[in-house]
Amino acid sequence: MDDDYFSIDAILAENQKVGCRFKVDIPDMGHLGGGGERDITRSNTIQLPIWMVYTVVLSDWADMIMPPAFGSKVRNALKAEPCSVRLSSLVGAGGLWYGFGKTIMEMLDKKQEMSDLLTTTFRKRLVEVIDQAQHFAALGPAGGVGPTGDSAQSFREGLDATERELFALAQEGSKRMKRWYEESDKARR
Amino acid sequence: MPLPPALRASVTPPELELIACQQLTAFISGAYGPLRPPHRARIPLWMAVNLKQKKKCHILAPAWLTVEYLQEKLVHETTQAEFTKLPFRFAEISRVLLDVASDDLQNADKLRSLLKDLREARQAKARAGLESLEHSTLGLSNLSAMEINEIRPFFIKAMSVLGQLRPGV
Repeated sequence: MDDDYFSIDAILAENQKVGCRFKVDIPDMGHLGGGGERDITRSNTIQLPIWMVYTVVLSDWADMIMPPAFGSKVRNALKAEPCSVRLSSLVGAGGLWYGFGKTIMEMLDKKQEMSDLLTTTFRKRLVEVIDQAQHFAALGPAGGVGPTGDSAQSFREGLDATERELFALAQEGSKRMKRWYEESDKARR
Repeated sequence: MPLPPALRASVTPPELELIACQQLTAFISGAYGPLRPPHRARIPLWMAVNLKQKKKCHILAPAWLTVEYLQEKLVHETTQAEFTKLPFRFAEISRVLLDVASDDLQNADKLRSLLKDLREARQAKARAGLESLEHSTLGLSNLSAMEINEIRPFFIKAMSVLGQLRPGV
């Protein structure tokens, strides 16, 4: 999530491709698009890795197309009900939706709008993440299927990697507390 | 040697209990050392527990560990928006006392259930605090040591994520 050079999370977050629409002809670079064409022609759309997008966009050779993970469809769904969107399927398994979003945000002119989207989504989902983590901690080691139903199950599957980490932290903490409250320490003393 | 991930974010509940046991508590001494029964003496909790287990003393419960006081606090807790002021280490101390000296406390079962109710009411409030989480500040006053410790790992993480999602930093 952070920008640190050695951060594995930051590297994973950039492991995405972003569509770019070229404004100029670039000869002999057609292989970037993975196709058989020799040149990149104007108004062609090519999926580029993020590290290359920086250069291409800043040099004004191409416009970035907003990736579908943050497209209007997803935005509207998030506006309606943040908890029902499966973030993990937007960025692939183990993907960092928030990290990816942050990377995209840095390249946009309207940073505030993107930041608001990410922050609101995170905050709204956070409560549900923690609730479920504590519920799971309460179930004990054998638990797994609670009276939570399918929506909770699919919410958990839709967590992005950042939320998963939070889930694990909260679950571990609650488990420890539960153990401490419940154990009788006649044996310990 | 690196600590296991579970121990990096915060201390464990037993460690907090150990710290709480350094606090002074009142007890009536039995036949032991220079302490003269039936005079009261203030000694650290760990020593009181030790003496209690050897049946050398009675432990006098702190003033806040009574049914009336806790009931009052519970009413306050469930009617007011903010956290009730309780001793900082009430969770640890009450548990130790209920564990080893429940015969010195009046109505120990009632105390247990009151403490449990208090804890649940306070957890619900901490959860509400989660909804209004900010990247830089967190205002949950009167939270006790054990409760802070419980929420610390994921509050820290969540706040750092919120900080990173801010534009132009």
